[in-house]
Amino acid sequence: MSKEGTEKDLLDPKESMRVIRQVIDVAKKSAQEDGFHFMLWGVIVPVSAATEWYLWRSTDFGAPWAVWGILPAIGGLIAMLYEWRRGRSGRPENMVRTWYSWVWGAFVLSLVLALFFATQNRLSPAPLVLILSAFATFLSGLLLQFAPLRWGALVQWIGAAVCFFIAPQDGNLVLALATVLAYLLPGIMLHREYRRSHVR
Amino acid sequence: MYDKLDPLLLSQLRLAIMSYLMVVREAEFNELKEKTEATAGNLSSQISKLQEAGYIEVHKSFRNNFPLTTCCITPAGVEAFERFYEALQGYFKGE
Repeated sequence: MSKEGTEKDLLDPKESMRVIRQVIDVAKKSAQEDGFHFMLWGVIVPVSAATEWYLWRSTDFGAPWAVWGILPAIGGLIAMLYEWRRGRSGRPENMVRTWYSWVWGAFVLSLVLALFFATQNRLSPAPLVLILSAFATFLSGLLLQFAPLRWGALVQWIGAAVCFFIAPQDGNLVLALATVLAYLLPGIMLHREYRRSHVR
Repeated sequence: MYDKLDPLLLSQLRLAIMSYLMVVREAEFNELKEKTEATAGNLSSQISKLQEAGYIEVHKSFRNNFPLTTCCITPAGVEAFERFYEALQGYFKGE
């Protein structure tokens, strides 16, 4: 795509339309995410939630919630390492990526506050996590123009509503299932789409 | 009767820059250079023309001690692009 246009060779309408379509297509691809974080947390959250549920249901272990201090901590380290490597590779920033980072940064901050609030008041954190996550997932779906994430957010909102009608400890099962549908599956789809458009 | 097209956007590179910024809103110089496959000199010159017209803003800063040039589309730029695109569509009506 050579764009070495000068004043002498002005475009005609047909060429203008071609340039617009071609460049917008390129821009959409460049704003794409590779789905890594959705896949990572799409595994870590369901495994942690299901493990806590299992420990609570089938063992005498006194602190089943402790699993949340192990796997998510490892996940956090992997996520930071991944972003650090991506930053070093010189990936250019743009507005979509900046907004995307802000959305998830705000989510993490809200999550920390919500978890603190839930533990202090002996509330089940699952519905709070689902509501906050649904909001961030929905915005990501809009920013990346990726419908499966928006559907995933809907699943999380429904999951949060379901949590209000079941035993608090069973909320972990809903969290696990909703996260597989909202993170893991769209994450895999996003990754496939990213590979299709970037690896030729 | 066709609407007159904005002559500033009838250059291939300037139109490419504006189309790209319409999607991402803000982009670094090197990203624009890579995506438009333009030379640094030509890109720089076309960016200046768009900046003079008020269609884009250029911010210069530093990242890791290296100069960083960022371009972002202005509301006037968005309006000009939308007007251009609308006028352009008029040429294809009835085709």
